[in-house]
Amino acid sequence: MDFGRYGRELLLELKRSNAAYNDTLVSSCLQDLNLHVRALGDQVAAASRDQEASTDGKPKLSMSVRPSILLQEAAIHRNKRCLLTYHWVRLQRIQKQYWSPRQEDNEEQQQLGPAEEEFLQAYQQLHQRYAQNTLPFVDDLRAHAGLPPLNTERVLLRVVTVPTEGPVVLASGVSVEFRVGATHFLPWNDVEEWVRKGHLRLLTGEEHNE
Amino acid sequence: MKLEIEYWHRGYQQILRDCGQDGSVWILCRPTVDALCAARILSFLLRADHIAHHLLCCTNLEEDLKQASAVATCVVLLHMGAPQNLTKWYQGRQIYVLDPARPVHLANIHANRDIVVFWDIDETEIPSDGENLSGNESSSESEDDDESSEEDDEEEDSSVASSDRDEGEFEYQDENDENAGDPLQQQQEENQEDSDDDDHDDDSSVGRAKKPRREDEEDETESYEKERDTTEAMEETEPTTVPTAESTPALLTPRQWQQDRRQRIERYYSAGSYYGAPAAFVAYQLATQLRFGDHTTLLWLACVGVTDAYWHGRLDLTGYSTLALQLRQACQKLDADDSDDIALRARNTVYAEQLSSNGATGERTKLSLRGTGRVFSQPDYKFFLLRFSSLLDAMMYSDTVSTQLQLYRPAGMNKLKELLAKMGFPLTECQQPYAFMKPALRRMLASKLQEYAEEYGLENLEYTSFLRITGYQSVLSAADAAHAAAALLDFGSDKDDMFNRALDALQSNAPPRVMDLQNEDNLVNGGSLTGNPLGYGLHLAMKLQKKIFAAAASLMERNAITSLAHFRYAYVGDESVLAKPAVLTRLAQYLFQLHRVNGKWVGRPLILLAKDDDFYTVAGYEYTEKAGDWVRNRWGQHFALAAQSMTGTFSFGHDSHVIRVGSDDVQRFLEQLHYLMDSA
Repeated sequence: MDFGRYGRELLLELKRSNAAYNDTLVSSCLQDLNLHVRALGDQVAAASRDQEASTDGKPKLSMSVRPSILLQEAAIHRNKRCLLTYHWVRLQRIQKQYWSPRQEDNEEQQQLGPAEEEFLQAYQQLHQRYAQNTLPFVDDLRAHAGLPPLNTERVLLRVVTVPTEGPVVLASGVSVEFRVGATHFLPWNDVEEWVRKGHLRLLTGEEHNE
Repeated sequence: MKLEIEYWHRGYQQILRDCGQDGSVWILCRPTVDALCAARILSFLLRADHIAHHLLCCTNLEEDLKQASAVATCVVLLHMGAPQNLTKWYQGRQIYVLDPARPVHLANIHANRDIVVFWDIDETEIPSDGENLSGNESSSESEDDDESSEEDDEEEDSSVASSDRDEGEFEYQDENDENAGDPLQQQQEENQEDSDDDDHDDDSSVGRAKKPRREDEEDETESYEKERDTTEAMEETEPTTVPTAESTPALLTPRQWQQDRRQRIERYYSAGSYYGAPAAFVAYQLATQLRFGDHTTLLWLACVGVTDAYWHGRLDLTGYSTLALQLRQACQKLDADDSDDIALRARNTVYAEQLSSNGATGERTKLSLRGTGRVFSQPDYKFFLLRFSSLLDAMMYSDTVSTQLQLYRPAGMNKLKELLAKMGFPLTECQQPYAFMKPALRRMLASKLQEYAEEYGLENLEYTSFLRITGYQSVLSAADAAHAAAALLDFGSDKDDMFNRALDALQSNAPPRVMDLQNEDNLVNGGSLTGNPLGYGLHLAMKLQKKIFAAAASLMERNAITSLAHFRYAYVGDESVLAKPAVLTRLAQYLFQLHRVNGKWVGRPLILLAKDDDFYTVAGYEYTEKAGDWVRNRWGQHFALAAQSMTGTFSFGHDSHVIRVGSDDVQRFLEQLHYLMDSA
């Protein structure tokens, strides 16, 4: 029993964002968890036997056995938390990867384990079933991911790369000169194409905090 | 024109009117936290009214104004532009200025509706419109100069860059404006602004063609009569004014009046620079005059802007108290729960029994509410990032505690540890992140500080602060947010990237992670900025505070602060972050406070010099008797005079008390400065 060492290593694995699913480490952590569970069971059983055999008639366990029982329980919970965190973070990354197939700068694709591949396929099928049932005219909801709702007039955006040099007059009549890093509030119809191509990024404003 | 506080909404209505369906507003924002907060508030207002607008970080006002003029319907300047003569760069677009910097250039005030300055309460007497609004003519000029006319000339930029007294051109405008009935026109009529100006160039070193004398005499007489009317109007409202030459203009000849006016203009500019209400506060007041007074996010941004102005020395204690009171009232108005139990509200908790009418006593049932986004005001400690670091670090890097206990010395650190021990706080607990400290100790902190702090000379440890609930039992203070955003602006070389990071940090409503601020690498996601810019900003804020304290300690240990007859000066170091004006301001405040406490400094101002590539950033600060006081800063004039009287490479920024000097010229600049002050 290592009292949470494997759990800590799982968390350190998460820092390496493109690391593959570490099946060995997860197995070790599960094994450690089972050892703790067994040890806890043994200690509780032994303590119960001693209590039954004792003549003082006290209903509670003696103080001498409590620290070790608490320690085993804490180790079990810690291992569980580490395992859940590891899997949860990896699943979040998979989903994010699915919804943002265009890679961000310096971010590599996450390498998936077999179980994660299955999860991704199931997630994809679930998404496609939903899209077919609810929005049959939409081929892929991912094309609309992160885009504003229908009937949005104007959107707040930031320039990632300049879509067109120099001053330009948009279809709505608004004049704009794009500069990298600048923030604009422009009609959605005029900028939709640039947003889809990635030149402009949508932002959320204060109204979303209320 | 200056737009008084009660009419600010008219300025905004004019923006809407100008933009119409297809116009757009360009918001040029200086990279300061106050300006960023004002930008977010203004952007919210414009978005609510579906006005297209563009927000840019502005470091070169002239170039950005020229670029904006080509495409923008109107331009809004945030935290810049007021002391510069904007009429020089005016290209026919309306310019709106929300800038706390004072004094405002007279050309901007008298520029009719083309330039609108949002004016807070300021009792400084404003000289009237007329010649020489830049104040460059001396009062001892000859009579020939008074009577000679001036031709129209455009000024060219020289190696001695413009100061806040550059001359400008003044276009002649008809008294009858085209758009009668629009909001600013009404305002202008109410203010009785005169709009008859001739074109002038006040540069006496350039040869001029002379206009007929008759025209000049008519102009002077007209201006004289208007000034007399204005003075008489002032007299009517101030019946207790003691009769002087100014108040009885009928006794002055036009030449005497001209001389008197020149002196008043000179007094107006030479009184020194100071600051009015922060731009974020002005923007929030504008929002309340419109229909947005009940948005807590806008209130929060105003709180952050005001707090930033206080911590960076642009607001003295009185000013901060005044604005804090108004913001506190706004908080109470928005927060329907007027409970005095602030801790209870911060925990987003109410009791079920409070909701029932019978008011049952006895054991109560706790209900947790979301409450995210609520803003409230309460006294807070002047400890640095207390909620995101340990108690020991927060006290060590607090300006108040560090200067009072002289923590740069080993004996000072021992005093701090002794204080904590007397309070009953184990050192190991004080080194834990405050959020993980034992709740019992955290509850005891207030009472123990009250009991023992005075013994160590720690007074005024609390001030009125503003806090926002960012999540379940998670609270962010306005000071923390301001420090984080300021640090994001100060670190990094790409100005647009820094600007956007800070802008995003102010928008974020997510609770920043409580991370180990000692360990730069201790971030779960590897330190990605996209995840939590506010959290990263807090980390940089602590790093910056440590650099400032280290720089101060280094200056004192090396005895590197040189005292001259008129000022003290010190070369700060080579780190680029220390060359930022805001950082130098904090360092100067820290040095002043440190030496006030140990009694070594009395009276003399301070100049700090920091290397920045091939230049030195030179910043001048006035000495104040007490921390939190404010004295008008006259270094802008001294720097301008020194720069004009020698050859070299100089560049003025947005703040008049900061100048960039070429590396080869900096020593001579200091000598020249001292020589000029000596001979004055």
